[in-house]
Amino acid sequence: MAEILAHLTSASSELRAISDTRDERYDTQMRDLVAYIKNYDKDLDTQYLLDNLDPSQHTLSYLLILNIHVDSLQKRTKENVPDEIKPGNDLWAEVAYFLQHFDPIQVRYAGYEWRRLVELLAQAAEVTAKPFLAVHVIKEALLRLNSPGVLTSLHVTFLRLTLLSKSYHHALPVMERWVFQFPTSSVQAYRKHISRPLCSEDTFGDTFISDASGFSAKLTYRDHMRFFLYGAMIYLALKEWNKALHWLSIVISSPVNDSVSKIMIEGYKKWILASLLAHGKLISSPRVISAHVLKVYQTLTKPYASLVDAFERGDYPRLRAEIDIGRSVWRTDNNEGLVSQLFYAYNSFLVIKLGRTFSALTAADVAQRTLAPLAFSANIEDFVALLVMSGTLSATLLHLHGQSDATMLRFFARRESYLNSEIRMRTRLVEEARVLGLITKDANQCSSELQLGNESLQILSRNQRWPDASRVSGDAVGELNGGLEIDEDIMGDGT
Amino acid sequence: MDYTQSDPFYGAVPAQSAGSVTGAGGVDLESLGGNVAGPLVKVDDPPKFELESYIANYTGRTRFNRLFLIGTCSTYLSVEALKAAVAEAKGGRDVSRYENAVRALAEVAPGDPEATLDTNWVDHMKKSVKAETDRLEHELRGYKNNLIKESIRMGNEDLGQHYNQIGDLVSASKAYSRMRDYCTTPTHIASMLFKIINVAIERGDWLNVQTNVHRLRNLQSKQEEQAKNEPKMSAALGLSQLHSGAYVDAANSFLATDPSLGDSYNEVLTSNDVAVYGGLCALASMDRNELQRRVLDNNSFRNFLELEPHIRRAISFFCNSKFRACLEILEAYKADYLLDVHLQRHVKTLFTRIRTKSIQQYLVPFSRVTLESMTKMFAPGVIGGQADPTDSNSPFVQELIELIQDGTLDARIDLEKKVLVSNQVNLRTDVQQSILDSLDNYIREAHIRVLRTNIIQAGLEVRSDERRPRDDRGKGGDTFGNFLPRGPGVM
Repeated sequence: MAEILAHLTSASSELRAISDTRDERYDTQMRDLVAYIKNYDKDLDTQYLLDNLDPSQHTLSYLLILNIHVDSLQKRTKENVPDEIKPGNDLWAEVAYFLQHFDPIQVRYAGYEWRRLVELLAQAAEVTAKPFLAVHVIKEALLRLNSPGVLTSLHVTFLRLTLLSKSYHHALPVMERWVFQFPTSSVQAYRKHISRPLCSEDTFGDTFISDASGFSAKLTYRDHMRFFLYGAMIYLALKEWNKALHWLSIVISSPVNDSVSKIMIEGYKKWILASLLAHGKLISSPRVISAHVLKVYQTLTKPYASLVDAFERGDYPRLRAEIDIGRSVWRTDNNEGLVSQLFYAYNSFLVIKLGRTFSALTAADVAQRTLAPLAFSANIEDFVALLVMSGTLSATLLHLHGQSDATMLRFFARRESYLNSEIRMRTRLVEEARVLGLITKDANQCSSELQLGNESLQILSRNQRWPDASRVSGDAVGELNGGLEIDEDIMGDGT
Repeated sequence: MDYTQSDPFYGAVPAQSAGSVTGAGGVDLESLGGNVAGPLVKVDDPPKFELESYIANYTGRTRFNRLFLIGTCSTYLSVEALKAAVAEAKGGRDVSRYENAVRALAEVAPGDPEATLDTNWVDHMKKSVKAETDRLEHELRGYKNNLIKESIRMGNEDLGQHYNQIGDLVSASKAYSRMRDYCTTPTHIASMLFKIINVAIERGDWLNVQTNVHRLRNLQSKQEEQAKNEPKMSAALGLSQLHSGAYVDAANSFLATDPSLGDSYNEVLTSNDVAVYGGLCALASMDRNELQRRVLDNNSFRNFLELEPHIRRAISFFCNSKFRACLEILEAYKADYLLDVHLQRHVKTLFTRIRTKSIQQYLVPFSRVTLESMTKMFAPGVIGGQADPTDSNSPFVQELIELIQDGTLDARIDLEKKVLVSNQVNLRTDVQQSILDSLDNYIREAHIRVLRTNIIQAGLEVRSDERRPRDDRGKGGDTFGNFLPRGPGVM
């Protein structure tokens, strides 16, 4: 055993010693190591090796040995999730420690094993009904892997766990890395000629995560839609309406081949509610949704449509009635919580609207104009105070002396001080610039892909006599449109 | 000669069919022919004019129309006006009019001897009308056989005039239109077009009025002819624009009317009318500078204004920012306007516009105004009657609230200090905000589209499962089993 250990450690330490070595050399070393461990046919004392290997330095060896260990364990206990790996036991601790400390470069050579470990952890946590324990670990693991913009099946599992454990905030770091790519062989095909070794620092996530690498299980359309729907649900739970709306609009604008997925319908229902909660009205749906899909949505979400109608007309009794009538619908759709927030949203939008007409008015006037269930001006005061404190409304409440102690609500003309707003503006600009950079990079990549791998594009342009289609420019984002449509047509022809 | 069935003026039952008139400007027809639906407006206040002298200004068919309108709308003058209308109708040859007038009179004054139908006259007149129609058509046929252009033209003209007299306006306008081919001189064409315009005005076919005015304008004729026709053309055009609700254009047309109009167009309107229509339209559509420059300092229009000094006073009050005085004058003459055949329908809109404009103009110099002073200016009647005229429920404040909500006034009401505060715009913040918003939109849109491309490229579009039979397509049922295990609500 010691001999093997020596071999394993020496290989890794050798690599570390020549850390400035060329990528190709590193690459072969790593592949040799993988082959060495995989072909070692004698029984390994895995526990001994694990004890003596350092996960952060000998990541690859550790990972492979750990897998062998788990394998043998599963064989022995004949259970998919052995007791040892359940939270609180030694193996759980080891796996968790590994996932928080592995070396992201080495792990690229054993994507399948890595994923297996994470999935096992997630299963173990769920089986024991302690999903929260896994959430933190998987979050660290996903962030460490550093694969920005690529969706893996683990992302979906992870969001599901956060929803189960209601630890929404933990999902945010993962969700804030915008997802653009999907690991499927067809996407990677064209990239083969840019062959960089896996270990290179310049190799991006979209290259090393592919079907072949095993970092992700095979994705279906359900997976990406579930990912975005789960993400949206997390934002909804955090009351980040605008972000939720964006994620939901991704769900509802997913391209469809023939049928509409039920996940999309579900997304549309939530999208309607989120739009009411965020804007007080139904915003226009993304333009990429095709008409027939929209029609399907509308026929399947009738109760929601009448809800919207009542809300937009400012017809409080009707809104109330609609909500009561549809109670069973909201319950079966699991949207009861969102629907119940409509009352609050309705009232706050009314008060905010008052702010556009009045610069000051008494609480009694507010009560009279909102016509909401806040029949008593004391309630109104509480409600308005809540709005002011939550920052939704920039206003103050004043108690007047003299005339019957009425309370006066005074709206501010400007939201905040000049300096503050400038600072806020600056931070927002910086943030937007970051996101814009991400998007532009990906949009460029996207259009260059459309240009590169597309003999079919040329055939198409010949067939359909588009003189300039072969020159769809790669750099102007404005031309993204053209590129997209052409691509859709290709798919349409293919099926 | 074919009598079109859709013609509301032909035949003995105009009252019933007039109510169903559709198309361009059927409103005047309704108020003329239809006491079935009842008049739209009831005016209880006595108007300022004297009926006798008022109606004496007009000639032709408009006399009856005006009398009938006054009779049905004004409670104060109804009997007098309707009696005059009956007399007027009996003097003419239009049977249906007579019947209408008598019916209306019977409603307000059942006991009056004139309120019963003179059946002898009706029968006699019907017969004579029939005979006359036949005669004229026969003559026309004869002319046509002889192929004498001038005779055919005159035959058509006579026929048109006859139809006009008996109230068959559609046939009249058809007959006049047929004159077109037989006109030899520009003068003929001009007179034909005027006849068509007059009929169209009475029919309320304002589109037709406009097209024919333009035809008339493009006509190549002698200078003095043109000069003679010009004022009538402007007046007719203005009238049609007034009725289509284009008050600015109407104001411009009326303002461009030459004072030489005099009483030459009395079969449609008088110079007094031009002053009133033009003045009101201008008040409703122009700002103070324009009013001053184009109305008060307009030498030719001054001649009109002198006929109706109250309009002149109202406009100059408006220009001098004495809105209250201006509105009071208009209010005092409201009854007159409501009894005008052309103005009735527009009085409300025009008044609201003038009032809104006054409020807007009044606010221009202020950054904050007390509601009290505004109430004094715009709702003087309220102060006496109500304990707190600036209460949030007073009609004036309600009006202000509506104006603010529909975006007419850029201000907010402060109910504590009872002031109206005008909004201050911070351009810098606004621009920044709009930039951020559009940036946001772009990012979202781009993200959705890039994702979409990649999804399609990765072959991840929604499709029915291959394992399932094809007939499952489109229902989305196959995706049901996979659907969300739990929603957040139940976890």
